[in-house]
Order: sequence, then C-alpha cells, then structure tokens
Amino acid sequence: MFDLSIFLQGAQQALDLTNVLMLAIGSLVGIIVGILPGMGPMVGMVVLLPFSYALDAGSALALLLGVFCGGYFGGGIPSVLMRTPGVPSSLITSFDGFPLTQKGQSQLALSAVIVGSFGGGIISVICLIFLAPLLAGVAQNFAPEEYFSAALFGIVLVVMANRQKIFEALILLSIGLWAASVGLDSTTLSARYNFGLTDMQNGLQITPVCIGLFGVGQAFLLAEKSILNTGTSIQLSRSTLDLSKIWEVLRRWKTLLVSGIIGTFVGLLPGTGSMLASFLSYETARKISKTPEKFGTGMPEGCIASEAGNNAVPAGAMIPLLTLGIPGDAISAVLLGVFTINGIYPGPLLLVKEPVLINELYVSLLLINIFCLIMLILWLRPFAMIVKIPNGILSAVILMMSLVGIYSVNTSFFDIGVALVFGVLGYVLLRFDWPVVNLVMGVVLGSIFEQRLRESLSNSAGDPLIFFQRPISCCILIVTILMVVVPLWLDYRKARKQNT
Amino acid sequence: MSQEKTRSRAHDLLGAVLGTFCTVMLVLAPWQIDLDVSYPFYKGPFIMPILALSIGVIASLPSWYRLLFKGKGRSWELDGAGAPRKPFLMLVTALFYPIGIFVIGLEIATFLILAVELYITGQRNRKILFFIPLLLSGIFWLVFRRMLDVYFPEPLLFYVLG
Repeated sequence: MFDLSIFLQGAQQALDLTNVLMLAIGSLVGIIVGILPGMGPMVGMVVLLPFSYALDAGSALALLLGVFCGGYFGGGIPSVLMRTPGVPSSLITSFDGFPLTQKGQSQLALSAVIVGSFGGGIISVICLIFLAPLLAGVAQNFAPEEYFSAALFGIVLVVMANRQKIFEALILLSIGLWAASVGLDSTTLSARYNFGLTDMQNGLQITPVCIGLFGVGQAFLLAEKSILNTGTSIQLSRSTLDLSKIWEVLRRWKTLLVSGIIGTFVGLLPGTGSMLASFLSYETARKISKTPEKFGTGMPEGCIASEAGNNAVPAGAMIPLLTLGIPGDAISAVLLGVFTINGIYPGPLLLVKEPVLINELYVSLLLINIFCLIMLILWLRPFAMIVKIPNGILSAVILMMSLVGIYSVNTSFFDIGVALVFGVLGYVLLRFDWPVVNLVMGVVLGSIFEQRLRESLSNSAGDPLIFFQRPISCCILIVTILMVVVPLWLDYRKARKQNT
Repeated sequence: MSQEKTRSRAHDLLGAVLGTFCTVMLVLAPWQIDLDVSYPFYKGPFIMPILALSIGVIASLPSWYRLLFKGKGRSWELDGAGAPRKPFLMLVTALFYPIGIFVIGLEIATFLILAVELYITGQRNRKILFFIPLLLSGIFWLVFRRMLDVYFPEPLLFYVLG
C-alpha cells in the first residue's frame, strides 16, 4: 500500500525550488491573515487564488495549503496576547492563553499555541497518509448512486451544522444550488438562466463567487467595523520564542496526540469546521486532565488542545476531497477548483492515477507545518505587531487585489461584475451573520449533485428507490436521515426540559 | 424560540427578499431554460433548478410569516453599526475600476482608485494616500504584467492621444 519509491518521487517534487518558495509564501500570507482578526485563511486563499492559476497543480496547492494551515497557526497569537481571536476557533485558545499572559507567562502560552498547532498539523498529515488509501479503496466501488448519497450527506451535514439558523441555511443552500445550474447544461446543452448574456453561458464559476463572497464582502465589512481594539498593548518579553518553553509544552504530548486525532476526524466530516474541532479537543483535554477545575485559569493544556484540534482540520478535510472529490467546506472547495483547472479530478482513482502528486501533497503539508513553526519561532514579535495595521488600509488593499486578481483568471471584466455582485451579497450575509458557507457548498456541490442524481435516475428509469437498493448508498442515506432526526429530536427534548 | 423573538426584523426582510428571488427564478424557469428536445423530467435540465429553488421558496415561508404577522414589539435595528455608508461608497468607486483599466490603464487606475478607497475608509495621512497606491500599482505591474503576462486592454486615452 505504501510505496517508498513513489513517496520519494513526491518528496523530490515537493522540495523543488518553486514548490518550496510557494509554500513559504503561502505559509507567510497564512500566518498574517490568521493573525489579523476578522480575516482568516479563506480571505488569504481567495486573494492568492488567481496567482495559483499560473502554477502547476503541486505548487498551486502548496501555495493555498500554506495559507490554509498558516491561518490556523497565526490565529492563536492575538487570542493569547490580546484575547482577540485571529480565527474564530482560536477563541477557545484564549480561555487559557490570555490568563497565562496576564500571569506574565506569555512565552509559555505562545509555545503551547505554536507547538500545539505544529503537533496537530503533523498528526493529521500522518492520519491523512494512512486513511486516504483506505477510504479510496471503499470509494472504488462507488456508482453514481453512492456519489449522490455522499454529496447529499455533505450538504445535510453543512445545513445541520447551522441548525440554529436552519431556514437561513436552506435559503442560502438553495441559491447556491441554483447558481451551480446557471449556464449551459453539460448533458442537454440547454442554456439555463443566461438572461441573454453570452458571458453567462459559462455559468457562475466558483472563483468569482468565492472571491466576491469572502474577498470583496470581507473588505466591505472591514471598512466599517473597528473589529479590533488596537489600543490593547502587546506583552512580549522577547522578539523570538523562548525555546526552553517548547520542551515544557512537549511534556504534555498526550494532550497533543489526542487533540490532533480529534481534529483530523472532525475535519473529515463536511461542514463541521475548526470551531468544533477546537471545542471538542479542549473539552476532551479537560476531561482527561487530573486538574480539570484549573482549565480556564491558565492551563497550557487548554491552548495545546485547542490549537492542535483546529490545525488538524486542513489535512483532515483533504481526506474526503482527495478520495471522493467532495469538499467538506468552502476552503476545500477552493482547493477542488485548483485541481480541476489543472485537469485533475479528485476521486477514488486519484490515488492510483496521480500517486506522485498525492505524495508531493503529503510532503508539502509536512513542510508547511515546519515552515510555520520556524517562522513563528524566529519572527514572533513582528508577526504580533501585524494586528496594529489599520482596518481601512487592509480593506482597500484586499478589495483592489480581489478585483484585479479575478480579472486575471479569465481576463474578463464580466467576472469582476460577478465578484462585485457576490461581494455585496457576501457583505450583507456576513453583517447579518448568516451561514455563508451554505451558499458556497451549494455552488460547489451543485454540479456533482445534479450530475449524479440525473445519472442515477436515468439508470432506474426515474425510480428514486434506486438509492436505497444499493447497500453503500442505502447506508449513507440512513446515516443522513439520522443526522437530521437525532439532533432535532435532542433539541426538542432539551427545549421541553427547559420549559418544564 | 426566544432568540427569534429578540432577533431584528431585518433578518425576516432578508429572508423574504431572497425567498422572492427564488420564487421569481422558479416562475421564469420555462422561459429561461431552453429545451429543443424533449427529455423525461429526471433526465432534463429542469430538475436541478426546480428542486433547488423550491427549497428556497419553502424555507423563506417562516420569514414571510414573521414579517407579516409577528412583527409586534420587534425592532428593525440590526447591530447598531448604522447605515453601510463606507461599503456603499467603496462599491461605487470599485465600479469605476474596470472602466479605469479600460480608459487609463491598470497602473494609473489602480493608483487613483486605491487612493480614493483609502480616503473613503478614513485615511487622511498624505504619505499613506500616496505611497500605498504607488506600491500596490508597482506590485500589480510586476506580478500581473511582467510575471503572469496577463493581457490588459491598451488604455483608450493613450490610444486617442496617439
């Protein structure tokens, strides 16, 4: 199963100068956008996305994965120093990180964050290396029915992850699915919703939609919100990380290991996201601790668990993407776009057809974690100072980079228009705090969903029971139904209990 | 339930607006989907848009209900951040960017539009208003023109002036 010669070929490609340069740039950008509160890895990825199209698949993925992982590395820094999470999941890190800083132990807290992120990242890559072939082996038996059921499972999971806003989630999902159907239908070549515009015949592509929603929309939001109190002082005793504290953190290796594994499995599930990974890892660390009552008062284990959990998500999210071709979240959806634009279609055969690329990806992920660790150890203070950049400057620069970036993909002014329309929608949804991820998942999964649905129904002459007649499909659908019924039933019981 | 009672009515309005959009697209389906050959519904191009838009229409019904019948005692105020004046001005300025690229070229358009965007976001320092646009214009020239060799139209103004 594990072929050393192919792994070495992949490693050789990963160590190619262009690839190393790209993953270093990606990691640097990722740490910066992770540290800046209100931005996060998605904004960094969509801004760099147009540049990635000029690269080969391996280097493009290294660039974007660098941003993905770097974002989670950076997110913990402001949450420890200023109780302001750079990415939402780092909120959990602040529970123990900020009290440690208040006690004058910011170096220990930062070591816990950085080593926790590094450990979580490495553990999840190892899990990816061993789990991806297993899942791909199962997926080789998949027919259109199974793919449809898996896509439906992904969609349902994303909606149920936002079940507190279930109607909003459904509305956005429906608009996303509809947007995916705009343009020429690949089966019948019928034009759909092009409103007489020839540019619309290519459909609404994922790149302008994502850049609009997350790049332009976030730029508008940053312009008006003073998200960060820049008056807060940053307490750092030295400009680099204190290496003696790293050994102190490494003594808590059990927390690191457990949290990394939890984060990987949470990342594997569509729509669950890094927040849940951080939270579950933190709660588990507290339960297995000998002093659970001290959590929240400045326990390094809390920071390690939270950061190892959220930084394990990127590699975990790669498992369904590589083996099924189904992205679990918006960030994976962007990565899927990079694969397809290079003529590579993720799925069960990808590991057989492109083994060198897959191994290059594994090694790139390992290198990204090492790069992020070294960068943060050496340039801790300069990175921490990034939070002082005014939001107004960031907002204007992100907007301009998004617009010119989206033009450069297809040299199309129409794409700028699409990005601006989705930018306005993204701004409104972000300000209303609606679950934007549902819209993106609809756009991404829409084409897979439609194609497999029509193929399956064609095989059965229109009989929908076909999905229950194949065992794997039937199992996935039963789990999907349970995913809907069980949480709603538990919520209902909880509400009844509270009322009585 | 209690959360719904305290939520701004603006959420219901947004739900209703998006639901209306879905309804309009659903109604327009026979005119907006070309079909020369007849296919069974499950094989044809109608199945996905109709399925998707129907979900949107149904999911927006609670928003409509709350908007029309459950508005008493609930506020329209969203988050207290006020009207989106800056984003609106930024959007209007951004609309001129493609025109600017077409008329005066990438570098000058980037410089001017970014300077205006920075001014809108509240920057008043003249050095920032000059050097950041200059720096970004230089980066765009280097990356997009020199490295990525992206095609940008020849500036109309330069063409007219010869």
